[in-house]
Amino acid sequence: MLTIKNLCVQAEGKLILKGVNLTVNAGEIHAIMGPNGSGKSTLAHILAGREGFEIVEGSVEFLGQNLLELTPEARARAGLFLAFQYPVSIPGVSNIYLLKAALNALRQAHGLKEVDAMDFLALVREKMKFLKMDEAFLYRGVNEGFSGGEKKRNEILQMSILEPCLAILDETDSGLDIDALKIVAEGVNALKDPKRAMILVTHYQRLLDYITPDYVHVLSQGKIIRSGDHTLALALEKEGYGWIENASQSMAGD
Amino acid sequence: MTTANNTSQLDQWLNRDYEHGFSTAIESDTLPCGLNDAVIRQISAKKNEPDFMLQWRLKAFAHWQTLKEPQWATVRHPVIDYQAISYYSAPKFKEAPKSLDEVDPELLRTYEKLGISLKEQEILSGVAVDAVFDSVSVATTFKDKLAKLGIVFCSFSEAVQEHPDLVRQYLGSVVSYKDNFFASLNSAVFTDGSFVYIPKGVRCPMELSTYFRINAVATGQFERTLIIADEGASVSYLEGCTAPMRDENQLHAAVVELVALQDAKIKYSTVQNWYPGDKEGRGGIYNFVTKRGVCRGARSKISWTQVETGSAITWKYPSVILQGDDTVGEFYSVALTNHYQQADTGTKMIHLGKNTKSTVISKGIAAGHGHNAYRGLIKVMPRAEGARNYTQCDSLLLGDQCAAHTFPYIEARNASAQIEHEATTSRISDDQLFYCQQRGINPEDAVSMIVNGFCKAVFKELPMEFAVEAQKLLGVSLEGCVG
Amino acid sequence: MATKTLTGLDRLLNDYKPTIYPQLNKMQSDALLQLKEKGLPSLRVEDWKYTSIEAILNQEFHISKKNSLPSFSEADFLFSHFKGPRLVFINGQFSPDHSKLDSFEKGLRFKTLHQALEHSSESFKKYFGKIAKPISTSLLPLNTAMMQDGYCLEVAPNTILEQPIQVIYIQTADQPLALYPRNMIILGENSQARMIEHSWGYENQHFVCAVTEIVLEAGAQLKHYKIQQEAKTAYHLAGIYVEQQGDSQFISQAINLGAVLSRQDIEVDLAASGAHCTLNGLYVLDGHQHHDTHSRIDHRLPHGTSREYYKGILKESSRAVFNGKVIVHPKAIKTDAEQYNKNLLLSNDAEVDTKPQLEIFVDDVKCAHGATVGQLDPEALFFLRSRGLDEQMAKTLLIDGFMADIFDAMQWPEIEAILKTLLVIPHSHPGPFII
Repeated sequence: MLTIKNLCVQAEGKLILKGVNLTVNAGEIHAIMGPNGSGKSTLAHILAGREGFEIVEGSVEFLGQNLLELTPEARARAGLFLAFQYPVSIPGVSNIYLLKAALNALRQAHGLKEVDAMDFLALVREKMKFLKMDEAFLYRGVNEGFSGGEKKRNEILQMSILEPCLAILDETDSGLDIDALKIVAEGVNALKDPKRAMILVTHYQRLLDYITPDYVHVLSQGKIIRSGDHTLALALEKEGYGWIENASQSMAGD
Repeated sequence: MTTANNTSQLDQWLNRDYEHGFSTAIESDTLPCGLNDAVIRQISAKKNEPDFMLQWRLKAFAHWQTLKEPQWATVRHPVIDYQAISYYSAPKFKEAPKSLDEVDPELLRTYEKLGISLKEQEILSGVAVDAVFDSVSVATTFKDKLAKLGIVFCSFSEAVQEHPDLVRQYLGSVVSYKDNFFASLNSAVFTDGSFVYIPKGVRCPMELSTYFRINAVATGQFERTLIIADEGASVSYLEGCTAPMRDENQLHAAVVELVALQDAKIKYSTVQNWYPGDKEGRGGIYNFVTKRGVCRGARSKISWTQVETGSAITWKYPSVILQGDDTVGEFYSVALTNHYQQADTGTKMIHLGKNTKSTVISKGIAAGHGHNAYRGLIKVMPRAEGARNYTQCDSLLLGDQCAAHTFPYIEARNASAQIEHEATTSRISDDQLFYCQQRGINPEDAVSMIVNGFCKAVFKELPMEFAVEAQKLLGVSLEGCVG
Repeated sequence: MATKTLTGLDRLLNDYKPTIYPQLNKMQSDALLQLKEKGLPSLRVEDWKYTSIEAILNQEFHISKKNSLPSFSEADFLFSHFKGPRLVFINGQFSPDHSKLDSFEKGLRFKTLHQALEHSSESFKKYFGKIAKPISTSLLPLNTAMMQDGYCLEVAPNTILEQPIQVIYIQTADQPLALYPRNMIILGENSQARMIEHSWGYENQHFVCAVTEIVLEAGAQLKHYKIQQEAKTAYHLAGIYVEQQGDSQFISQAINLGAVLSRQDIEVDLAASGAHCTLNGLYVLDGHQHHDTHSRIDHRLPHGTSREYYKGILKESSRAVFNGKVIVHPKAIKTDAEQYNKNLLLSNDAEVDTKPQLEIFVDDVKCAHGATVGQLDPEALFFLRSRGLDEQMAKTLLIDGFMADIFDAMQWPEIEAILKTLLVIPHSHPGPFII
């Protein structure tokens, strides 16, 4: 589904990603872990099409298309979803309005009719119930005055409505208490599907207690320095990033 | 890099065309350009006015000649030659039309093209319309139905003929002919406009609406609207405006007077979409308007809502004099300036009575090379015990060539006054645009969505049909803003 | 009215004497010319819409003579226990006897304007008379033409002064004097200083027309505290003009308590990127006092920040005017500006005219402003009384609460304590002040 080859990216003259390789197939869940400043969030944003970065080298293929050529909205319509670490607020634009506009944009791109208002409301209500969200959220401005946990749940709500092929969750666990984390994880697990892939970008292992990844990658200083199964995450939790970074450096030294 | 991209997206969006720019080929009765006593006498004679009207006009003209055109720091325009304007232009009728069937079909088509049907059976929403074409009213709908309730809704000229006592009593009682340069000019030369009288205790059952259209070349439009809500009456009035695209600037200097007696309510909504000029700032309407209401009786209320997207230059401050005790004044405004448009708008709330309240919500949007200024005055006089005001004025800037200014004057002379003014300035952030794009929404729609969200507090004050039109208009006016 | 203005101005200019400092010749003759052409500001000028100087123009003033200056003891000075140097001017004349000029830190040059004019440093020559260039009508030309002595503070680059600098202006005398102090502050790159200016007087009808020019070179930080406590029959009209270079910080705290008519103009030019200014102020007025604060902050280049916060308390028949302009020029992206004016109107005869004003010429900025006029919260008053406080006490407490954030912002407990004492003791108290 997603093939990243030797991706090198710089911003303001500084190289941030230094040759990332990653293949994600349908049905898989990948976790990308790494210390702060390792480039994990940058990778997530580049995949979604954030401006301000320069692709120096490499390619990204998504469902047979050259992802890097597409506008952010075209990527979204192709089925790529980014759950933001810091979702912005948009005062005055109601949550439900954004949801509907987004869903209709997606449907239009696939040659479908606009969603029926009643069906849409029923769908949203059901998903919200699952995420234990109050319906009043729908009529508030997008993320306006939401708490950290509410914003994250709101991201998962959007994801469950838009049903992407590839969901990238950027530090979705940050700022969540344990109850909120469980709810968010349940929401994510409910979206597990043989046709869908997910990339969890996270600093800590704790999200992975609730969502078991098939693969874990460690990103450090712009490169994936180790890949493994979910036990790698557990080892990281115990030992910290230090040992693996040291190990890779000494290997590089060899 | 990011900014450049968004700016160019904004540009595309801002560069759509003015869709009401067509003109109507219709024979007009137009006075030659120029202004003097004789012209004023001619206007008055053409309208077959009683002597008191002529005398009033002449007094206004004499006063106007003593005045100098005002100079405003934030509004710039070339000198206006008042002798190069024709002060009267009317579609030529063989005889005054007695019903819609007699109105020139070309005229009806003009209004249809603008999305306004003057045929009553085609109007679903229950809006009575007075259509003003250049200087004169061409048709008023639902007159009979309203007359049964004692409501007078007609053109100003007709009111002068049919209800001279009301006109005489109230004309100039809120905006005197000495008020300011443009109000004096209007008083001298105004040719038509709308007149509304709602009798005691009557709630007007439908929205009343006037649609203003400037068509002829080198004419000014000087209409005058007078609305009187008698004790306990209420009315909602809508005003819409468009003009063809022409290279020269045209002057629109209107006066609106509202009088609310005890317990009366007047809601006055405007969607102003005069031709704004082209992308280089050529042409467009100079919209210099005096609008003022007085809450004369206790517990009366006047509410202004305006969506200003058109005109090359807008200069207007719909105001309320809160004379009676417990009266309420409101001002809700969205003003958008794109390309080289300039808007200097705001309100004055003059608190005279006890426990008077006013609310001011102003949303200014500046794009392209647009200049947008809020200028407001909240004045609490010594006798106005318990006066309250809340003002919020926010500016949204799109692009780095535009400007937004805020000049709020507050004058408080009563110790029980509570006045609050808040203002913010923001722009559409890259983060907001990217967020929407990531959800599959293209940048144009995202900007439009965010701008409409920004204006929400004002749009919700508009009657439903107008709110929809206003949202569309905002979209159109901002087109080319993204790119 | 025009003729009156003329005679009033002529009367003031009667005392004009050509300067003994040749470097001032041109500056002063230009100022005189400007005065003769444009006169003094009247109510017709937007910036003077609410403040008339008619009363000053109708008065007869004299220029002070250097004789029989009254004597003060150390305890008479408000900040006598502060270490650090002090300059004292009595009725416009430098008083070496009262000044304290023995505790200079390294890198500090602190002297009278006349001394600075006699032996000018390079930076004094570079900046003097060049910083004050108000765009709006002001009394600047009057001060320039009639300029008397004042202070000159220079801090060498990279110097961090430990002790605050003090300047005290005392106005006392039988006949009304016209006083034109002229001051200059220059902070070299990355230097830091704190400065207290206290202007006080009693039982007089003096007219003080002061101008202070301030330059902060790159990275410099100045905290400037000004306490205006003239006699309540006097006139105090002052202008502060500031130019800030990159990443410099200017913190101004202005406390206005005295004078029947006072006006503070403060204009800050954030001339380079990353500069910050804070303008805070408090005015407490009663009787027929009239105070006017006019501020202007020009953001010219990116990443500048400004914070402006003025509060006022108005009693009896007093009147306060506030006008704050923040102008964000086209190049000043990433500007972050806030501006607030809050007023407590405690009498029906008092009046507040406030106008916080933003002029923004670029989109990538964050600006907010606000103004309020209100009273003591009756609920809070009731609550306090229900807890056993008498009404006067309750009001005092709430007024203290209203002023609290202005004091908190001073971040200097000693000065805060002194100011609070001033505000509790009715300040018409004819000094000396006991702390």
